[in-house]
Parts: sequence; C-alpha cells; structure tokens
Amino acid sequence: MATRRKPSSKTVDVRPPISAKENKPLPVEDPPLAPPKLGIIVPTAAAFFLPFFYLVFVHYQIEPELRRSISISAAMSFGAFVVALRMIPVAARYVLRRNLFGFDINKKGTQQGAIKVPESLGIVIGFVYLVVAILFQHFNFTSDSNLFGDGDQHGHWLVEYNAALASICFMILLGFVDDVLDLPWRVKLVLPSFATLPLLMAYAGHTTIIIPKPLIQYVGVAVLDLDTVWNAFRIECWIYKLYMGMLAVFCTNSINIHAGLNGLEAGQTVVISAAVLIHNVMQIGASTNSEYQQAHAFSIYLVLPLLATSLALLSYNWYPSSVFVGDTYTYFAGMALAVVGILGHFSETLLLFFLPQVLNFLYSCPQLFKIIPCPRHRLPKFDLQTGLLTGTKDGTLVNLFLRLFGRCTEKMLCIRLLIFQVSLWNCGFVMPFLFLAEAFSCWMVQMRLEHRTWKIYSCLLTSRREHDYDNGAIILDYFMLDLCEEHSKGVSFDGNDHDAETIEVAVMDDSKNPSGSTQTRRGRTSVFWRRLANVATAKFLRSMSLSRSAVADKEDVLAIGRCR
Amino acid sequence: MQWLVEYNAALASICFMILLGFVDDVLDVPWRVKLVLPSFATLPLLMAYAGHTTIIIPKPLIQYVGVAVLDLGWIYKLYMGMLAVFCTNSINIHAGLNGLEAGQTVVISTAVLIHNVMQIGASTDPEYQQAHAFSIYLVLPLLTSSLALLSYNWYPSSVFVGDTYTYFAGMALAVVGILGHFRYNPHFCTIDLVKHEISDYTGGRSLLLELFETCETLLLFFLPQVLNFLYSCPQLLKIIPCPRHRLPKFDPRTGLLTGTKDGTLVNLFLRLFGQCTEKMLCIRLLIFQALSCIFCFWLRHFLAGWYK
Repeated sequence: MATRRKPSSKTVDVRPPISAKENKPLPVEDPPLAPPKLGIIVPTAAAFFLPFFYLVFVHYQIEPELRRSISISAAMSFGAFVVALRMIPVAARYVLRRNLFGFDINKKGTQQGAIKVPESLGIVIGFVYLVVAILFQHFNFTSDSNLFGDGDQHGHWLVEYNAALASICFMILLGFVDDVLDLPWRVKLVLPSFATLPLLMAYAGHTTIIIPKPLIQYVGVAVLDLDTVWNAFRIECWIYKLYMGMLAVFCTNSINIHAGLNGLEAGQTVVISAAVLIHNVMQIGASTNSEYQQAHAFSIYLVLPLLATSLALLSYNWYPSSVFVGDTYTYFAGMALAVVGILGHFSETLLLFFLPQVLNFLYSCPQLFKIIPCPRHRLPKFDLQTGLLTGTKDGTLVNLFLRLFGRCTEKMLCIRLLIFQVSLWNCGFVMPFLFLAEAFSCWMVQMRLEHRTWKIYSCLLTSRREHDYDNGAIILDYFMLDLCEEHSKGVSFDGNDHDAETIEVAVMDDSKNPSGSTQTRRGRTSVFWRRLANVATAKFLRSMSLSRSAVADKEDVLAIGRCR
Repeated sequence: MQWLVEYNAALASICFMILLGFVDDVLDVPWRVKLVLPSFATLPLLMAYAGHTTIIIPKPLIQYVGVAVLDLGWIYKLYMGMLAVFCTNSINIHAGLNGLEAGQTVVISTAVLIHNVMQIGASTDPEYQQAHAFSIYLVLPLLTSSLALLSYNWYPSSVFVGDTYTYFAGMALAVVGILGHFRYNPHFCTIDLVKHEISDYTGGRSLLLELFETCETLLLFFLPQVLNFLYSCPQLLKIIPCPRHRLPKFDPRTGLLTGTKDGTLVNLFLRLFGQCTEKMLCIRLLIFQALSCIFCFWLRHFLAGWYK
C-alpha cells in the first residue's frame, strides 16, 4: 500500500502504518474479504439436506409432480447459494465505500476489533432470494401444470405467491432503509406491519373453499363463495388480520434482538428454516388432502431459497465475521418465515420453532419496557486477555447462557445457542408446548375459518358425539355449515381423508343422541377442554409417527357409530 | 382472480424497483449495472404471464406475415424487459433541472389518466373498461405522490428526487404500459377486432390505427424522452466524448443558463430559444411534454375517429 500516499509526503517509508492510513483518503483497492468458511457450511448443509431429500424421495409417497417441483426449487436454491457466495464480496466493497460498516464490539481491543466490517449484506441475500423466488414461478405455476393450473381451484396460490413476494420485497426495502437512515425504534417496530399489507390484502381475496367431494350433495355447490358471508362476520376477519400483522412484527423483531454474536442471526434462521422444511415434508407425507399439501409445498418453495441464501451469508458471517448481516437480513428472514407460516396455515407450529426467540423476548421484556434500565447494547463483556465473554446482568438469552454455563468464547457460545435452537424441535420439549399450541391452534383455526366462527365454536361445545376426537384423526381444518341453519351439519375434514361412509356416520350421529353432560354450560366447557386434550395428544402422536393412520381412524369412527 | 395476480405482480415489480433504485442511490452502482436493474424488477410481471404473448397483425399485413395472430413468445418478454429499461433510464437522462423529473412524470401521468378515461367512455366491452380502470388505479397514486414531491422539488428545490424516484416512476409507467398491452390480445379485445373489421376506413388509416393499438400507446406519451434519448445516443455510445454531467452552464452574474454542445433536450432548447432562467427552461420543457401528449391524442383522433 506504500504507493498510495499523498504525492506531497516525502518521508513515506518512515511513517508507521496507522498514521499512513489516516493520510490517504480511501484505498483504491480495499483489502479482500476473508474466504468463505465453506468447511463448516457444507457439512452442516449436507447434514440437513440428506435427510430432507431422503424424506421427499424415498420415505414418503409424494406425487411425482410435487417431487419435480421440489427438485426444481432445490436446484434453483443451490444456484442461489452459489450466486450469493460470489456476490457478497463484490457488494461488501461497495458497502464499505459508502461507509456502511461497523466494528466488532465483541473483539474490542484485539486487532480484529479495529477492522471495518461491512454492514447490511442482507441486501445481497434479499436480492438473490427475490430473483430466484420470482423465477421459480415460471417452472411451477404454468398453465399446463396439474397442481396449480386447473382453473380457479388452485389459482389462488398464484395470487398468494405474488402477494408473498411483494411483502418480502417491501420488507427488504424497509429493512435497508432502516439500515441506511437509522430510524427511531418506535418506527422500527411498526415497519413489518406495513410490509405485511400485501399479504393481508391478498388474504381477503381467498374467500372460496373447496367442498370435499363427498359433501357436494349436502351443500349443493362444488365451490362455496364466502363473499356474502364475509360481510356478516367481518369481525373475525380483522382479528385474524391483526394477528397476522402482529406475527410479522414478532418474528422480525425477535430475531433482531436475539443477536449480537458472530453468526447468530444467520445461524438461527438456518436452524428455523430447516425445522420448517422438515415439518412441511412430514405434513405433505402424512396427508392426502390436496389443498393441505399445496399449502405446505408453497411453504417449501419459499423457504428453500431462504435456507440456501442464508447458508451463503453464514459462510461469511460465521465466527470470525467478515460481514455483518444488518437489520436488512433479520427483517427479511423474519418476514419470510412469517409469510410462509401465515400462507401455509401453520403459524402456531412456526411459533413453536421460534421458541428460543420467544423466551429471549419474554426474558427481555423488563428491559424493553424500561422497567429495568436498558443500555444501548445488551452484549456480554469481552475480556481481552482470556478472549472469553462474560455474561452481564442484561436480560437476554446470550447473557443467560453465559451466566448458567460459565464463560466461553464467542464461537462456542454461538454453537451452544444454536444447539439449544435445534434441541427444541425434539420430542422431549415439544409435548407440553404442543398442547398449548393445540389449544391456541384450535382457537386460531376458528379465527381462520372464514365464516361463522362463533357458530363453529358453539357447535364444538354442543356436539353430541362424546368420542368425537378420541380417534385423534379429526382436526378442524374445515368446518362447513348449512346455510339454512336449521340443523348444523358439522363435518370434520382433515389431512386423513374420511370417505363418504365415515362422514355419513359422523353426520347422522349428530342428530341422534344428545348426551347429558352437554346440557349444562359447565359440562360443555369441561367436555371442550377434554376434547382439546385428546386432540392434542392424538395430533402429537400422529405428527411424530412418520406414517399415515387413516385406516385405523376410519374403523374407529365406524365402530363408534355402530355402538350408538 | 386474474386481476389479483396482475395487481400483486405489478406491486411486487414496483416494490422491487424502488428497492433497487434506493440501493443504487446508496451504493452508487456502476452504470452498466444501472442499465439492467429495471430488467430484474420486471421479472415478477413477466413471470405472472405464462401466456398472452401474442400480437395482432394489422389486416393489410396479414398476407405478408401469413397469420392473423402472431405468438412472439420469449421475444415479447424480452421486449417487455427492454421497455422497462427504456422508461426508467429515459426519465433519468432527461433530468438535471429543478423539478424536471417530477414534473415530466406528472405530465405523463395526467396524459395516461385522460387516455384511460376516454377509452373507458368510448367502449362498451367490460373487459376493456376493466383494463383501463386497472391502469387508472395504478397511475392515480403515482400522480398525487409525484405532486407532493414536486411541491418540494419545484424551483428552487428543497429536496432532490434521486435515482429512487426516477426508477420508480419509470417502472410504474412501464408496468401500466405492459399490463395495458395485454388488453389488445385476442382473448380480451375480440369486440374491438370486430369493430375494426366492420369499419369502413381506408386501408391506410386502418393500418396506422392497428399499429397504434398494438404498440404501446404509453410510449407515445414518452415522445420527448424518446427524442432526448435519440439525441443523446452519440454521446451515450461514446462516439462523441461524454462528460460526467451534461448540464448547461450557469452564469452567476446574470443567473441564466447557457446551452452547451451536449446532446440533450435541455441544451437543445437553450441553444434554440436562447438563454433563460432555470425555472423558465423547466416550464418550457414541461409545456413541450404537454404539447406532445396533446399531439398524440389528436393523432389518435385523426386516425380513429373514436371519440365521437
């Protein structure tokens, strides 16, 4: 670098390097970024993708069309990974040139703590993700594709896909604007709500439900248009939309505050995306309902590129970080996950995967609400001599781990936190939370069903069949009521198809035998909670098992019907 | 349902363009990248249309081409991508005076809106009316927000618009043009086709009208930008040396601008009509924009006699 001093200076070679840096305006050639840490990323990616592809291609019987679409998505995601990997160093140069950088606080005092680390590299990831997600439409949503092209039945997926893209794009824009302009935190909180707007507006468009074939004779039409019913029960609509807006705010900001270590933001996104993908594949494999499969396939198409681009970012962001992700990335990742949760109809399960973030948020609440004083950065303290981090009294998961498990290096701490994120997927932890999630889910399912939610609720309570949920196969995905309202035909329809016979039995049972315990309000409430407990257990068992249990359920229901 | 897809794809495109425009303003990307940015932003719109890439061959040419309806396929999509590049960059280079970028957008938007309303009034086909209404829904907010910007950007400027705005405005107008074209394919304008056939216009007028209908009507409103682009070509293609800013020269004593030899409309006006203040020059250019839009309306009327 000796050749780039000012022409006037003569004692060039004698000056120490630091003051020489002060003299020259900007180096014509910035020092190149450290190479990506592919040695860590590739094995991690393989550890996820091998089981994933095994599930998709070997274990589950998935339709060839769907498999083809997933393969295309995976191939494009790999392309996204490669492109992002090459673009990050290029973008880093431009970002540094415009003074968008930060210093690594957790290395303050060391040589690395003085390096200017480029910020906001999430913009590159967002850009690559958007291009791949947009191009994917060409391969999937063509008019001659069986899955998505047959008329209006699946046409709404194209609307929702574009609305999802618009939302994610809007969020990347707002995230980048925040990184550049450094907006006040109150504005930061509401930004994701603005970005959810396309999604909320598109959700309103989805007002048709497909009547399951066996029931067409009861309903009279094959496709029920709920537009007229919207107006009568508008109150449920805006509650669910409020929930969607809040979910986006939560997802984005929770990832944002569970940060501060090299590789933590990108790492947690990778873990959560992997969990979501596995969940999606399991749901596709365990279900025969076409709409249900589409919802989860939709989620796969949006999360695979997220995972791939996040891996690319992580290969530069892992300890020691060459680039920082910036608010752009955390907002983008949180929004993408919220979008798939909402449109794939598994937002409660998504919240389960966000459990460490939830815990971190709850633990941070006293400080966030200023009950306890809240410093600017709630990071642990870095000890220069030992190179270890010590936990402060701040209310973050990062500090909590340091206090519980003792001091450790930044890299080890990050690994511990990510292992914590992974471990919460697994059986031991999930069950009790699953019950709560199920209760919440049943409530949300009511909200989600786009008509007559209060009627459904009362139908649940007054349903005459004691053992309605004992077979564990009935979850309330659809609940369709006769327009006449003289007799409510409650029909349950879930991932495991019930055929006409089963449904007839279910319907007939309703009108036959009123049971005593449902006459009192208290009796009805206890019946309700008991049913919920049954549903939760059964659903958990069903979701943990990797095979369908449709046959058993049908026989159960028939047996129950005969008993009466 | 199809409208919702288009609308969301349009929103995704415009949002992507705003993002790229802002990234360009912040990171100052090289000009080669600047040229292709709008193509990326058009992708959502292109993807949302797997079909509809046909054009109608004007009747007199059918014998030469062989078919009445020609499916251009990917060539048409390439054209759409190029259209976005053209609209955005043409507004970008026809700039440099206080209030010029926002002002030209206001004038073009107004022309588009009037055109849409006239087409709705002159037609009875609900699909056709829907198409033009759709265009109104996208251009009205553009017009009002541009007016808000212009109220700060007009001479003397308190704020500058940046590449973000010129890209956004160009993209919004290009989106409207792209979506508008699809209304001229056989699926959507069969009634108009019939109208053409039973009309008793002369062959020449009918041909020109067909060309009008099948070309981007929107491009006609961009006439000054087209002229500016053509006039700039020698410098842009480096045949003549091209300085960093091709702005006129400002004389602090008189407060007037003098035209340089650069190939822009701004300098051309100064050379043709003499020195003037910045404000007056901007007004002249906007009047020129408005006059060319009025000329286009007259041309359509002359050729079609639609607006009886």
